[in-house]
Amino acid sequence: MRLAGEATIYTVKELHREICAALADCTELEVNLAAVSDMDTAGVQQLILAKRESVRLGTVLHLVQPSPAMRDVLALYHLAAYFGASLVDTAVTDSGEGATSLHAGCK
Amino acid sequence: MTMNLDAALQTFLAESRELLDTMEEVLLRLEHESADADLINALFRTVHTIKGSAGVFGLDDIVAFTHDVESLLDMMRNEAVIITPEIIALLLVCCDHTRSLVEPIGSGQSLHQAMQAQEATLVAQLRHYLQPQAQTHQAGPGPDAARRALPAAGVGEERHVATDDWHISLRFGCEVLRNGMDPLSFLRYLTTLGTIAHLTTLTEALPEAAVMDPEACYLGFEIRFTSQADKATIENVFEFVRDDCAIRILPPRSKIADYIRNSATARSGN
Repeated sequence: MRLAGEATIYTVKELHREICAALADCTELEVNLAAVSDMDTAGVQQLILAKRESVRLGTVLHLVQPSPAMRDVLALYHLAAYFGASLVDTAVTDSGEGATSLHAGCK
Repeated sequence: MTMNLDAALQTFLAESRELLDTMEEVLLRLEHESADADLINALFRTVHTIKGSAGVFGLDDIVAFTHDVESLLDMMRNEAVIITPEIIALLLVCCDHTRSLVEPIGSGQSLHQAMQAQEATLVAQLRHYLQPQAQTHQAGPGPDAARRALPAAGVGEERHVATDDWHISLRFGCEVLRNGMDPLSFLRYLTTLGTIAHLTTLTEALPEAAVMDPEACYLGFEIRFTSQADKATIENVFEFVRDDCAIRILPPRSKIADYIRNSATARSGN
């Protein structure tokens, strides 16, 4: 699963549907965040929800390549520890390399 | 000091830091959750363990202070003392004070004079709750009593300002995001007035996925804030969200009387 553009109050309803659907279908879910241009509290809440639901459902969650916008929000909210090992904090290139997200265990 | 003892003390220091972090975390949870036996037991264990380990090393100052804290927690555990916001505020200060007793072990420094004065104040407040007649007076020592017991602010105490932080509690209302405001922007604004030394994002209010309203805000924050700004300036940061957020701003611990008084006021106002 790949998030692109805004993850904000304006797009959060769609994001919520996508995340809930993806979590229900997968045993392992990778969310690529390299192309997230803007993230607000509504967007962060969906990631918190994804983390909590993944623990409840036994789904392995990987949040990979957080974009600068997202890192900024995680830093301000001191949430890196909350996401722990789920957050794969690899460097992000401007060209959006790594956009080919793998969907292990997920169709 | 032999190398082995030194190494053991470093272990004690590391263990105590972890336990104090846990203590603080549990206290912050108790601020907004109903007190359950597990939380109180967890709290008791942290202090009990620090006291026990300090005893092994003959750190009598730490044993003496944590003994009083432990006694109060024991009474809370046995429901002999009712937990109030005042007690939680007092225990938060005690947690910070224990930290300042433990930290010098790493550097071999002794307790600063101003800290000794603070300890006397805290012990007096703890013992107030330990007296049997305190049960009928849940509000704790009044602000006047605390002010009388507070050491006069001196030059030495001013040097402690660097570790002397504000404590800001925020619980955003669910309509905040829909009203066009984002908690993030308030935190960004806050950082222009000082440094966020520690921040805990509280996510417990987030409901089940099926019933979650994605546009509602469910987050709360506990913030330790290092700043020279005055309270009115810090309050102004949150002016536009005042109707949409439960806000509590507690001054640095050098103003213990204010700390306790304000926590009581904010609680009754919420």
